[in-house]
Order: sequence, then C-alpha cells, then structure tokens
Amino acid sequence: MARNLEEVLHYFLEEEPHSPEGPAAQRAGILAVSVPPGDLLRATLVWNLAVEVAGSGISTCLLVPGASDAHTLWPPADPGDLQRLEVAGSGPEELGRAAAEVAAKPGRRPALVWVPIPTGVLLEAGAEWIRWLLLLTTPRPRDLARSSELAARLLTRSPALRLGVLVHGVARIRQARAAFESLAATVEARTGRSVWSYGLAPEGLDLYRALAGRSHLSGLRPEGGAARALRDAARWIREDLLQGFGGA
Amino acid sequence: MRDRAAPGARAADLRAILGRLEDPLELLAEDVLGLESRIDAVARDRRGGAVVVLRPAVGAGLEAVADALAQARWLEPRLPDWLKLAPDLGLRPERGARGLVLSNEISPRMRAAAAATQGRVELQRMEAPTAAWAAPAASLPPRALGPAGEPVRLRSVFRTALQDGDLDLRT
Repeated sequence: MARNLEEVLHYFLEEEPHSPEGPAAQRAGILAVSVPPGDLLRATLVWNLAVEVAGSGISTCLLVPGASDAHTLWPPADPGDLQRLEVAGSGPEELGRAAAEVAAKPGRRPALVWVPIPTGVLLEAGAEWIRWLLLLTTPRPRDLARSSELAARLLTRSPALRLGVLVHGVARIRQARAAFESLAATVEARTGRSVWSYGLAPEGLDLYRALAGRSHLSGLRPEGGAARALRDAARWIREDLLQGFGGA
Repeated sequence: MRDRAAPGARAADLRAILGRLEDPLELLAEDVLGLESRIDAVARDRRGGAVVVLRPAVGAGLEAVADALAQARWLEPRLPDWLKLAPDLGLRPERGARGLVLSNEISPRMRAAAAATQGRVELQRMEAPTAAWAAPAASLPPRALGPAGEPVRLRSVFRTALQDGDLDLRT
C-alpha cells in the first residue's frame, strides 16, 4: 500500500534518543525564507513553493508574520495540505519562537515549517535560531550585491547555517547561473563556505497571472516553465529536509 | 544593443526626458523583461495608453523601430494583468500600447519604417547622450576571476533541470 511520505519521514530523520515521545518524535524542519516587507512577488513565490512541498506529501505549515499588509500579501486561501498560522509579530525572536512551538507541538506536527522573515531583520539579534535559509534574489546588480553581502554576513555569523539561493526574475538560464555564481564567488571568497542552489524562477506571464489571481502556478499551467522550476526547487527542499537540514 | 547605465541614474534621467516631451509620458517601469529581451522602460501617456520606450545604441535605430513594434504588440495583451496588479498605474488597457524610440540619430530608413507602422511606433530625437546613458553596464553579473585572471573554481554548484526553451516566457 502506498504510504504518505510523512509517515516514513522518521526513517530518514535523526531522532532524539531520549525523547519523551519516543521514536515518532522526530524534529520538524524549519526553513526561513527572506521576504522583504510588502514584496508581493516574493510572497507569491514562497507561497507557491510551500504549496508544492505540501503537495508532495510533506506536511507543511506556513507561518505568516502579522504585518499590517499580511492579508494583501498572502493569498487568502491555502490548499488543503498546507496549514497556515498567523504570528502576532514579525520580529526575529517572535518568529523563531512561533516556529519552534509549531515544530515541537505534540501530536500532529508538520514536517516542515516555513518562516517568511523580513530580509532587514535577518542580521538582527534574535535571528540566530535560523539554521536553514532560502534567500530569494534577482540577477539585477543592486539586488545581487545586497544578497551577496547579506549571505556572506549571515554565514560568517552562523557556522551551522545552510544557505540556499533561488534566483528569480530571470529570462535565461545563463542569467540565473551567472547570478548564482557571482553570489557564490563573493560568499566563498569571504567565508570559505558554500551556498546551495535551489534553481530559478523565470519572470513571465504565468507568475503574474498567479500573482493577480492569487492562485497556484501548478494549477494554472502545470507544464509551464515557472511551475516546473518551482517543482524542482520544492524537490530539492524536500531532499534537504529528509537529510535533516533545518532541524530545530 | 542598447545603452546601459546605472539603474538609478537611468531612471532619473529617463523620467526627466519623458516628462519634457511634447506629449509628456510618465515612467512606470524601467528595464522590463519583454519579448526575448529587455525593454528600457514602459511609460503611460496622458490618455492612459502604454508606451514601450527604447533607447538604442548608435547605429541600432532601425532595429529598435522593429523591436518597439514587437514589444508593444507583446505588451498589449498583458495590460489587463498589469492593471489588476497595480490599479494605481492609471493604465487604460483599451488604449493599447505603442512604441517610442529615443535616438540621437534618426535616419531616413528609420522614418520610413516608423511611418509604415501607422503610428504604432514614434521616433523622438534626443540631444547628445548624458553620462548616465552612455555608461555601459553588463546584463550579466561579471564572472568571478582569480588573481591571475582565471575563472574561479566554485564549490557551490548552480542547479536547474530546465533549458532556455522551457522557460516559455512568451506565453
């Protein structure tokens, strides 16, 4: 009989030897994702990625920071397999505390908790809990320079951080590759650490349609480039989760 | 081939140029991904029509006329989506989209080509390029080089399962 991936996840994840809840008490993964305040496009990408991961059998919870624009930023309804939890604040400590609570919730906890976090607070005190971060950047020089600087400083601060990069707003594969390699070169030169690629998201009408209709890319045009790119990113995220990254 | 410059300087420069035209335009977006290439700017006229603005490099004016026509045709069906995304832009999709080529040189062939578009593409002569316009900028980030100018070998590896054809940006 086919089994849901969530049911067998504990075979792959490291278990706490003295957990009061026994072997089934594997830790949920917590993935922080940089979303600047009011950035509708990146919020749409993150929501779509979370939906993709949830649809692949990983029970997934999306924490939504309680900013004043939260209701316009995030699509109003989630597919059945994606949970959503609104957090009162948007500070790094509040988000970290909420994520840890969800990840440690007794009973039916999600396997993966997504934490969209304002880019500006990533370096603030209180954000040290982040062990797994997905940085969304465009290839535009200013954005790329900011992202490279942020990535280098985060990796300098947090030796245990796994930093993933998804390049969005691209028209060509080589544009995404060049952007990623530019960021990676800066980070490697300054920190000696690697960054992980989660691929790309093309700029195109599919994404704008999803954004305008507050709908899921795979539902709009499953074989479109944007939907396929996000499915790839979701697969890599799932694989990293199975390897235990982001464990609280 | 277009002139490229620092984004902030270009935007300020272009905004001023568009505002001084006989039929002034308001700059809506700069460096927009269009049909297989980037559009220097998208602007709005006083009637709510969208205008694709191209600023070709010297010698590329004739090509820019055709490109402006193609990009305007590409943009037109996307205007309702733009309006949904940003109702405050003041666009009126029913007014359609046209092209505007800003060029230092306007050749007889450019004039003839623009006339053949029956108003879909207009030409506007500009004065000598400002420093901001003339400064080149690469469309791709520079390749990281080692001390001897050799490409740096990275441990981080870019991943994608897609090819350019899969990106499917025209639909």
